[in-house]
Order: sequence, then C-alpha cells, then structure tokens
Amino acid sequence: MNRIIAIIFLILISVQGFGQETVIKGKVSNASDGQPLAGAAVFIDGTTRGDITDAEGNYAISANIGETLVFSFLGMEPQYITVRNTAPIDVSLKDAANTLDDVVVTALAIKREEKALGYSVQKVSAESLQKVQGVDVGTSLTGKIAGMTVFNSSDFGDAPSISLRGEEPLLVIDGVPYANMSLRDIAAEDIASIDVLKGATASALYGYRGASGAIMVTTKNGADGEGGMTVTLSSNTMFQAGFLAIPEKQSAYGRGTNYAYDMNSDESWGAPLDGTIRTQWDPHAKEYRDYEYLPVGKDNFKNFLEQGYVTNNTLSVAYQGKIASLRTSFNWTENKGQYPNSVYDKYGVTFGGNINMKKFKLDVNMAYHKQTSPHIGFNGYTSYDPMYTLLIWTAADYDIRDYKDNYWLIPDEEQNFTYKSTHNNPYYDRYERTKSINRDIFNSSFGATYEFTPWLKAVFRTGIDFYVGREDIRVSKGSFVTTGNTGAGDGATWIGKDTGAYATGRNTGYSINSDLMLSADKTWGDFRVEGMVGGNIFYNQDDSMWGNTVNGISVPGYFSLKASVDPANVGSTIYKRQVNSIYGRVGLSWRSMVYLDATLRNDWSSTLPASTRSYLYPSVSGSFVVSELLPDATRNWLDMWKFRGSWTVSKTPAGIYATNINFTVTNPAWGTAASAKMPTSLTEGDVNPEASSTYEIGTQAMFLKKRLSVDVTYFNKLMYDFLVYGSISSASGYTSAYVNSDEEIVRRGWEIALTATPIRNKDWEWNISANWSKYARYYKQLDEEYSSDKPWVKVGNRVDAYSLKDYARDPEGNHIYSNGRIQYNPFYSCVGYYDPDWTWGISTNVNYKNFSLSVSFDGRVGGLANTMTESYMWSAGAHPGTLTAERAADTANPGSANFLGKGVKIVSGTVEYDSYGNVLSDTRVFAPNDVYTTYKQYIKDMHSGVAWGGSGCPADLYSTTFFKLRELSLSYRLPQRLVKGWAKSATVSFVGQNLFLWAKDFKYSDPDGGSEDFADPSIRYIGFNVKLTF
Amino acid sequence: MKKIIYTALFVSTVFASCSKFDEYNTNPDSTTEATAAMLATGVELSTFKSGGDAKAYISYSALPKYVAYLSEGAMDTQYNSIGRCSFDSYTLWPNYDQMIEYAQGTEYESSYRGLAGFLKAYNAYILTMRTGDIPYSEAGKGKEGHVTPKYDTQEEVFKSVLAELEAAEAYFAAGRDFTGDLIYSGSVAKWRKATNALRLKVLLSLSKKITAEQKAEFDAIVKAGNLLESNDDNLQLVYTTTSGTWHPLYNQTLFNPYTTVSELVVDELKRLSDRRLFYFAEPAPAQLEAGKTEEEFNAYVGTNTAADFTKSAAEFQQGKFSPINERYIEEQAGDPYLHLTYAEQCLIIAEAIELGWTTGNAESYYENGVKAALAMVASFDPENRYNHGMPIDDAYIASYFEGPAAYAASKEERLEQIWMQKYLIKFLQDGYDAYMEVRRTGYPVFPNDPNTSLNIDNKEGFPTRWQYPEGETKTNFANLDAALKRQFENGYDGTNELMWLLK
Repeated sequence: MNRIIAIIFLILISVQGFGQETVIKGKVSNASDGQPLAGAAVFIDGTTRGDITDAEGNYAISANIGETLVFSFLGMEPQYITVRNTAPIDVSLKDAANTLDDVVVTALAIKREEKALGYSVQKVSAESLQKVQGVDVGTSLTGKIAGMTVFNSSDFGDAPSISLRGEEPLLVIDGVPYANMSLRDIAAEDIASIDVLKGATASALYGYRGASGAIMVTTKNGADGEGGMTVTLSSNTMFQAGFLAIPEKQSAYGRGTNYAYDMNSDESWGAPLDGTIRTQWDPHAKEYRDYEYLPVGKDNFKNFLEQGYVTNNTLSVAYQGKIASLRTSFNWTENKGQYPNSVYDKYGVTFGGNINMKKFKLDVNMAYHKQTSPHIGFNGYTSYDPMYTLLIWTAADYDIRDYKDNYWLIPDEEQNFTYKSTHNNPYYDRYERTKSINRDIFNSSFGATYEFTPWLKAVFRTGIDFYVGREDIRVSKGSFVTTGNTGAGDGATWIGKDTGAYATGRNTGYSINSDLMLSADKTWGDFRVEGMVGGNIFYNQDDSMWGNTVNGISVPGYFSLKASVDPANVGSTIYKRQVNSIYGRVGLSWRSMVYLDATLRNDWSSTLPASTRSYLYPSVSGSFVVSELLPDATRNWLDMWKFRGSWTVSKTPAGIYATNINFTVTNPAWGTAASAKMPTSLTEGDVNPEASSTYEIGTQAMFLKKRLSVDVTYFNKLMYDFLVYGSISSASGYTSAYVNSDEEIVRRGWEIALTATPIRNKDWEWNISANWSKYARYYKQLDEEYSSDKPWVKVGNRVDAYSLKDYARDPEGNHIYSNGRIQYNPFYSCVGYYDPDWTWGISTNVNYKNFSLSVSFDGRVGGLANTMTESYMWSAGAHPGTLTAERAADTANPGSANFLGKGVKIVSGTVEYDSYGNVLSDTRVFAPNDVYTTYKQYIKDMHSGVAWGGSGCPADLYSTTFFKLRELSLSYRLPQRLVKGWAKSATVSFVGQNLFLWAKDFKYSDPDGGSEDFADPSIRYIGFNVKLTF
Repeated sequence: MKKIIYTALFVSTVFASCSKFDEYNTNPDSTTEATAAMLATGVELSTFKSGGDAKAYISYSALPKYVAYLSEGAMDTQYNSIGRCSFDSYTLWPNYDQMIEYAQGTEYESSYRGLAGFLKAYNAYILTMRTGDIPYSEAGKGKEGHVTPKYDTQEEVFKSVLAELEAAEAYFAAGRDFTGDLIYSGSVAKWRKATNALRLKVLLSLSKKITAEQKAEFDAIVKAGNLLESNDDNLQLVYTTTSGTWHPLYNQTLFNPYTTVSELVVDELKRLSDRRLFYFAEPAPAQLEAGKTEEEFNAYVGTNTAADFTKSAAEFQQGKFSPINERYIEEQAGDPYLHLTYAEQCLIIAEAIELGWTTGNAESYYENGVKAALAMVASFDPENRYNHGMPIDDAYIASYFEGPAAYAASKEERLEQIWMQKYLIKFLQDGYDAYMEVRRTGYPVFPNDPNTSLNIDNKEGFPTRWQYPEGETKTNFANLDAALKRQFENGYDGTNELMWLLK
C-alpha cells in the first residue's frame, strides 16, 4: 500500500505543466451529422478564459502548452484536450445520451451493442444514483428500471429489497457474481454504471444464479477519469425533517382491560384519564403514590424520537495514464435513526486499477466494507421495537420523558418503570437490551485478457469475497422481557428475563468464482461470427457459531459466555457448495441488421445426488433492426427501430443438505437428557433441479436524433419441476415429501420504458424518463397430490392469492352476529392479491445553465398487506378510532354492553359446510341483530392480531397503493471563475429523499416496504450535497 | 488451436473434480445415526409434555370449567367453542420403529418394544377419543410409500389399542431397565404397572360399548395385580428449575393473575370442606377487604364460567373472584404434569366394581384414591408456602371421610362421588382428558348459558368432539371423506356430532 501512495504522489507532482502562451484555432462540429456547432463553449480548464464558436463552429483561444481546453455544449459530452503544440484542434462532440445508450454490459462482463441484443437490458447512469445519496444506493434505483420493484422499508437498519420481475436478481460486480456482496456494500460514488439484465436469457450464462436476471454493477477503477489526476470529494448530508407517516394513539382512556383502572394491565381499555386520584408509580420518588390520573403521555411516542440524519461522504483519487489507471476511494456513511441508540455506520475503502497494453489487459478491483451498529434492533411485533411498548402496550397515562436517563431503580438490578413486569422501560430497552452488529466484508477481483490475434482472445477472471459477521444480544439484569426470538442461535430464544443474558452469533464465509474463457470474433464480408467457450467453478462456504448464556449472567454488566450461570449453550453450522460449469456462446450477425445468439451451459452441482447433478441450459436470442430496411428518408425522424426475441431454459438445484436425511438432535432436550427425532419429511434423494423456461419479445425505437425512445417488452416465464416439501397426511408418519411437484406456474408481464428530451437548446435542457411494468403469476398446471387444495387454486388463477377467514354473512350479505358478537366463516376465501398490479416511476431532469433540477417519483398500484400496527392499536384500545360513543357508555358503566352490531342474528337452525366453504345444509332463520355487546368485544373480534400466526382480519387488510416523491435535487455548478485556482469543478446541491407520500389506505405507516409489521415512522430527509473535483 | 486444447484440458480437470461433492453435501452438525435412548427421550417428551404456551395451558383447563379467564376477551374453550385437532402424534410412529430397530438384538429390545407399544397406543387412544375413527392399521407407513392411510372405525381402533397395550405389558414384563426414560428412569416394573393402569382407563372409556370379553379383560387385569401402588408410581412429567423444563404457567404474569377458579370447583370444595381449595386458589380480594381471612373457606369465591364475559371481567376488577394459586406463577418447577395416577386408577376400579365388571371393596378403592389425591396435592406445596395456613396433613386426610365425602348409600350418589373426585384430580392438569371423562359420565354438570355459549351448532349443549385436521382434507381426502360419511349425518365434520363411543 505504501508504494501505491508513493506512486500517486509522484504522479501528482509530475502533472504540473509549464508552457508558452499561443493562439489555438479550430472547429467544433456535431459528431452525429458532421455539421458545425454554433454556440459551443471553449475555455481553458480551471480559468474563465474562453470563447464561443461562431456560426461555422470556429473558435480561437489563447492558451499555454500543457493547459487543457474544455469543449462543451449542452446535451453533449464535454471533451478535454491538452494543448501539446500550436496545431489547430478540431473537435466533434457526441450526444451525451448517445454514449450512454449504445453499449451495455452483458453476462460475464461482455460489453455489447444494445441493438444486437435479443433480450431486455436497461442501463442506469451513475450520475442519477449520485445526485441524492442516502444510506443505500438501492433506494435511488427505485422507479428507475421498468420491471424492477424496490421495497424501501421505513424500518431503521433495513436495506431496501430489490425485486426484478418478482424475483430476487443476482448482483454482479465488475463481472463477478459474488455470493456475499450486497448493494449495501457499494457506495454510490464508486459506481460507474449499472446495467440490469432483466430476464433469464440475459443472464443464462450465470447458470442457476442468474435465473432471475442480474444487476451488473461496474465500479470506477480509473479508466473513466479525465486524464491525469482527479481528486473528488463528495459529501451528502440530510436531516430528518418530519415524517411521511407516523402513528398516533388515543389519550382519553388509561390502562385496563375492562373499562376499569388496572395498574398491571397493558391494554388501553381502562378508566378515563380524567384526573381522578389513583395509585400510580411515581417515576421520580420511585414509589407508588396517589395522584391525579391524567393523559400526561399523550405524545409519548413523538417525545421518545430523536433527530435523525444520514451523512454519506466519499473521497476518491483517480489517475488516468496512457497504459495504466487507478482509483482509490474512501466512504463513510452514518445513519442516526429516529430512536435513541439507533446509529448505523458504514465504512468502505476501494482500490481499483487497470493496465491496458496492446495485447494484454488487466483489471483489478478490491474493496473492504464495514457495517457496524451498537443497536441495530429488531423490527416488527417485538418489544425491541419501541412502537410495541409505546404505542400498543402502554397507555397515555405516564410521561416517557420522566423515564429518560432514569431507567434504574437499583442500578444493574431493578428497573424504574410504570410497569413492574411484562414491559420494559423503552429507554432500558434501547440501552440495556441491545443487538449490536459488526460485519466486515472484503471482495476482490482479478481479470486478465490476452489477445492472441485480433480475432482470438482469452479472458481469465476470478473473484473472491470473504466476510466476518458478529451479532451480540445483551440483556441486562432486571429485564421484564426475554431476549425474544432473536435468531442469534438455537437456544437464545426466550432467555434472560430478570436474570440477564448474553447471546452471540459469529458467522464467516467466503466464495470463489473463477472463469476462463476463450473468445473469437471474425468478420467475412457482411457476416460476422463471434463466440466463446469457457468454464466456471463456483464454491461457497458459510460457517457460523453461536452461544448463549443459560439461566442468566453471573455478574451485572459482564456480557460473555463465561458469565453464564449454567454451562453456556453453543452450536455451529457449516454449509458448503460447489458448482462446476462449462459454457459457450455463438453469435452471428449480418450487416448490423440481423443478429442471432445461442448459448449453452452445463452445470454440475454438489447439492444434488449423482444421478441428477449434471444438467444443461440452452438459450437462443435474436434481434432484427428493421429500420435498416426502411427508406433513407425515414432517417430524419427514425434513428433505429428493432424487434427482439429470446428463449431460454434455466435450472435451479436443490439447497445445501436439502436431500439429506438427518435426525434432529436436541441437547439438552429436558434437563440434561438429549433427544433425537426422525425427520418429518420423506426424502427420496433423486430429485431434479427446479426448472423454468422463459421467452421474451420486445421492440425498441428511437426517434428525432434520439430525443425520444420507446422500449416495450413482454415476457413469459414458465416455472416447473418445483422442489417442494409437499404436504402428505401426517397419519403416514411424515408431514411432507421432498419431491419435484407437477405444478406449473407461469409469470407474465409487460414493461414499457420511455425517455424523452422535450427541450434542448443553448441554455435549457429537459429530460424525462418514465417506466411502467406489471406482472402476475398464474397456475398453468396443478399437481394432484401436492398442489394446495383450495377453491382459488385453479388453472388460470393467480398464485399470489390473499386468503383469510372472512366475516360470515347471510344470503343478503349482512354480517352475522351471535350473542352480539360478529362471526367469521369457518373456512378461508380469497379476498385479493399480494403482488402489486403495476409499478411505475418517473424521473425528470431540467438543466438551465449551471443549474440542474432532478426529481423522481414512483409508486405502486394494488397489492394487499395486513397492517400490523393498526391491528394491534385497535385491539389494545389505543387506536384513535376507538373513541366512540359506545366506548364512552361502556366505560361509564363497566359491565354494561352498549354496542349493537349492524347485521343479523340466527334465530334457529344451523349451517354445515365442507372444508371448501360449500354449504352442505342450511336451515338458518335470521332476524336483525338486537343483542348488544361491549365496544371492546366488538373491536377485539374485528381485529385479531397475526403476530403469532393466523391470516388476519378483513378490517386490517389494506391496499398498498401509494406514490412517493422519492428524490429531489437542485444543484448549482459553480462558474469556473469562482473555483479557479482551487478546484476543477464544484457543485452544491439542495437534496431531499423520501419527501412526500400519498397512500390509499395506509395513514399511520408507510407501505413502501411491501408489508407492514410495525413499520417505523417514515423519515423525510432534507439536506445538501457538495461535490468538489480537484 | 493449441490454446483451445489447453482450455479443454483445464475444463476437463475442473469437471473431474466432482469427487468431493458428496462430502460437501453432508452436514457434519447433524446426524444420520442416533440411539434408542435419544429417540425414547424424544417420543416421551412429545407425548407427555403439554404443548403450547401458558394461555394454551389455561385454555385446556377452561374447557372442563376448572378456571375462567378474565383478560383480553372471552376464551373460546371456556364458552364451549373448540376447533380442530392435530395428527402430529403420528409423526412419532417412524420414531417408534427406528427406536426398536436400534434396540434390535440387544438386551433392551423388549423394553423399547414395550415403550413403543405403550406410546403408540396412548397417542392413538387420545386421538380417537377426540375425533372418532382414525387411521391406525395403515398409519405410519409413509416410508413404504403408503401416504394415504385409511381410517379404521373407532371400534377397531379400541381393539387395536388394547391389543397393543397387552403386548406392551408382556414386553415390559420380559424387559430390563433401559435408558432415555424421563418418566420412570427406565424402570420396566413401573412401566408395566402404568401399562395396566392405562388398559383399565381405556376399558372404562368404553363403558357404553363394552363387551363381555372386555369386562373379563378388566377383571383379569385387576386380579393379576401389576398395578400402580402409590403416588410414587404415577406416570407424570416432573418440571424442574432447570431452564427449559419449567412449568408452562411459571412467571406468566400476563395470564395467570387474570385466571380465576370456577364456581364449580370452589363450591364443590367448600361443600366437601376440602382443603385443596387453599392449594388451588387465592382468596377473593373483596372478601379479604370485607374482613374475612385467608384461612376461611368463605374468603374464596368462584367465577361462573358461563356468565357473560364482560360482567365477570368487571366483577373481577372489583376483586370479587379468587384467582388461581400464587404457586402457579411463583414456582419454576410447579406441579408435575399428571398422566396416569394411582388415585385415578383407584377411582377407575371403584367405578368398575360399582358397575359389576370386577369384584372388590369399592369403598376402600374410593377412599384410597381420594387419600392419594389429597396427599399428592399436599406434596405440591411441601413447605406450606402457598396453602394459606390450611395444610393437608395426615390428620386432615384421616378425617376427610367424616363429612359429606363419606361413601354414600345409593349407587347413583356413589358414582357421582367417584366422578367428582376424579374430576378434582385434574385441576390445572390435562384438561382435555378430564373433559373426555365428563363427556362420558355427564358429571359434574357444567354450567351453561345459551346466551353466552360460543358453541354455534348447539348452544344448549357442549361440544362432543374435535374436527379432523385441515391437512387431511388436502392430503387424504378420500379416506377422510369415507370416515366422515360412515360416522356422521351428511358426513359433517362438526364438533357436536356423536362418535361411535357415545352413541
């Protein structure tokens, strides 16, 4: 490393140039048509000296030898040319969009012309991901790719989850499909471009790992620098500026389960907070005292929240030489969440370089990333999530501020809280019952290309990643709650109440992915044949160990396995997998008009039995550039129009150990005794890999010098041979059989992408791009034995059915009440679908001189989710909607029932159903319901929580339809005269992320995460971004 | 061209290296081999440990009206609503076979065969009692490819269960003490006794359908004498203070304080001046405020389990009812979970004598059973910390039969005494087992109010069975359908239908 730094410094010194001033003349033209460009700016980099081209594109400028001329015109790529001598310098500028669109990175990092492809690939420029930099670059991808849905959970610490055509795509970084890297491990500033290979055909050469498409990230490694040395400092800091959605609760009634004050109850169905003198805990005197019972905790949740922020800073140094270039960067990102002790940090150091010689090319990339948090917490229905205690399971009858920095009664022994069991002081939970994380990951790739002859070359590429992760759960003594279901290890669940606990999980693993390819490219007249053959070995291993204390910790504050009162519980797992492959590709083309491609790959997977472990995947794709056949006159308005089509088969082998038959050993099972259990699944062993066959057709057209382009894709993916643990009758002794199901599911979808530049002139440029996509899964064929036997599971029906037990209704559709209580059907029915109906995104960019405004919107339409937060707020009596006249009447006279359900009751007779919900016999006679029940009983019946299973109630089922103003940036590039002498360029921006939300049903939480399980308040971020280039 | 050959060579070496694949796909942290003892521990735990959390435990006891639950909302079982049962215990069948396979040829083979037979019969007995016809003769054969077993009629199931138990008794008689046993530390002598006790229990369940041969079988078992002899022989799972082996109700402060003892239990204990009241319950706070003391029977007030939930919950807030004893919250080890007790066995024989199935002195069986039951409850609080100063001591036990507990004059009354005493044994124990017994005898009479009942098909009555598991409708439909159609009108899988045993 020292040597590298030394070299960088040497280079720094040597680029200082000295020279004689001279007048340089020349002409600037448009590269696409060769016409002169009038009004183009020509100036000396780092100065205000410059000229504007005349109507013939001519300019003249005084410059020193060694100075750099910058040629720019709006909408075109600027060019930088260093003055070497006095000769005229003629320059032709290319359209900015032009350079972006034409070449894309395809499978195995092979760069290809987009028009040659028979499948859909969409490119995202790095710039659009760098305008606003939050915690994850994934958030900035939202809405930018047709067919990609990004679910941005508002929960602290949650990375956005990316779905491509409804599946999780493979992440490929600089040509290497690492097993352990995630987008979270890449800083936005380090990205040069992202190409999304949408379907299985595009990523057919990645084998099973590419079965769901791929996100190809190309990182900067110096090659895209501007020649010489560039130092870039980018800093993006945003602060929490309110919330897009935050829950509220009622503060009229206090704790209690049945309309009376009950000191120990955690529900809010108690007596009114009306100032009556009641025995209550005094947080400061730390004793029970009689005082006025008032809604002092009206704003407990808001008062508990802290100011959040996110800061994302990158410093990079790049050098571009004649044959070698290199780049190194450092990133620090810190996110302070909305809760106390919620801090998350990321650090990254990258180093990349390449050597470009005549016959030999070398690319090397290395990166180290660290993530760390003192308390990443847990989200969802758990007391680790402050919403659980503050919103649901305590009433508004205490002031949380009284307990801040005041959570001990006896330090390290006993808690100070208004409850003496069941619920911890939320501050105690944040600081004394924590889950800390630390994850280090290192990845590196090495790629070498050797050109034997102009038409034949060999490529060797290998990538290794290696991670070490650590999670620690620390529960101090005096906790009223256990560790909970932490997942930190087998035995770490439900320990530590009163006694304290420590649980730790360490995991480490690595993957090695190596390819050797030989490729050839030869042209004969109008024909061109190119192709390659290669082999790949992929190996990955995950190793984990965990341990937890048993029966508590021996000394307060001593968090170690050694602190365990009884011998600590420890365990380990190891998973290994190897897949060997050979593959090949042949591409034929004729006159840049007709392109045909075929690939073949054979895998051998260690996770399958010898008889089925070898399997083959073919793919065929083609592209026909129809505009080549059209008369020349059309060129004026039509730049390119092509049709494409492709087909592929892909296979996914069984998981590691899935075909093993093993006993489940529990030790200790009871006291000191160990037990063993036979597996409850029958495993035959000779299963085949899962398979799918995808075809895709599409068309792409570009108009008006590429100022308008349209891309439409239809895809159809047939999935079959599913590996399932098919349910079998438990009476057979087994609950499932691991088999290839005969079920077939087809996923069909449409994607449309539009980009336009409605305005482009000397001062103004307006770009807009929009995309829209939809998909759904349908049953194509059912398995008689293993397909789920439900009325809505039928060929042609959607797969993502949302089913639940609906309210029982009479033939007229009225709700049925029994003893005043609402009744449910005893069977399940389909009430809608999980997946969104469609997804859209629009981003736009307006440039005026040095100003640039970028805005992106996106949204989803349709799709159902259960609202966990509101469901529990209702049933705990905390929901603002529970403040009804019936509740007031119930409370005024505990034991009375004042709620009359609107519907009918059964006067006589019964109904009998089969398990599908078909009526076997019905002798019921109905009359209007006239039996009162309590309001609380009605609410409890309407909203049964699903945290412990069950399907939820229709009343808690919400549409996830929403749209969001995702990002906004208004930037100003400082004029050269202001930065002269100290920087090459400087840009300052006002930025915002997650700025505005409109949701159809969700009022108290943000449905962006796709599901709603105590979603944290959704933070609006506003801040600034500074980018300096030296 | 040479390079292509080199590449081909590279590629072919790569693919020759599949030899490690099997090693990679073998999990070193799990095992394909176990021992008979470990399997025995597994199947015993699955059979004898109460499934579910504290609330589930309370709900099992709410069905036979031992307790009322007065938090959150009306508890389904308390108001006579029950749903589906589970066939999970069938997954133990391959474990029985595997356990025997491991023991085969060893000196313990007979012991493990006995254990396998006992557990298979016991679990099948529980299932048939709850549902009716169940798979038996074709069950547990998934490995042989038989994944849709037919349902045997309940009559056949009972015959098979009794035959299995008879065989198990012989295996235990021939066996030697074995390992992996959580109940009797491997004592085959005790297992033999428990097997015979279970045979008596199963036969008595058949009281409406019993054949002459079965009565003779009962008589023979009693006469042969290998039966439970004291509380030391009880088949029970003992909870301990070791983590993971705690009583399900321990420290469940969200549920226990809101669980009250039923009026049925409190009033009966008061009538009998039975000090078990002080072990089962806490005094009602309102009674203490009114000046009563915890040693007084009248300080204890039960909850009418059929009363409107809202009203009861409001009265509970006013301290009107007796919650369950503090011991259930405070003690990690708590009461052992009872399956077959000497007390119950005595009461079974007493009833059989009254029915004329066997001969003997019914009164002394009755008294021995009750004495054992009292001593057992006393043993749950050995340090007299929770019994409110009203311990069950030897003197108290000796005087117990001087009052209304004295064996009655009429047979009808005597049977009711036997049934009531048997009912009291299972307070906060295996509630569903107690419910089965009350279903058979109709005594004690549970309170009911059609206006509060959640038993939608029969608000005047009590459910008689659980529905078959939902999974069976998907995975074994033809056989389930046949079983339903031959048992119930319309083939309706309802919770108020009458199975063969009850017809």
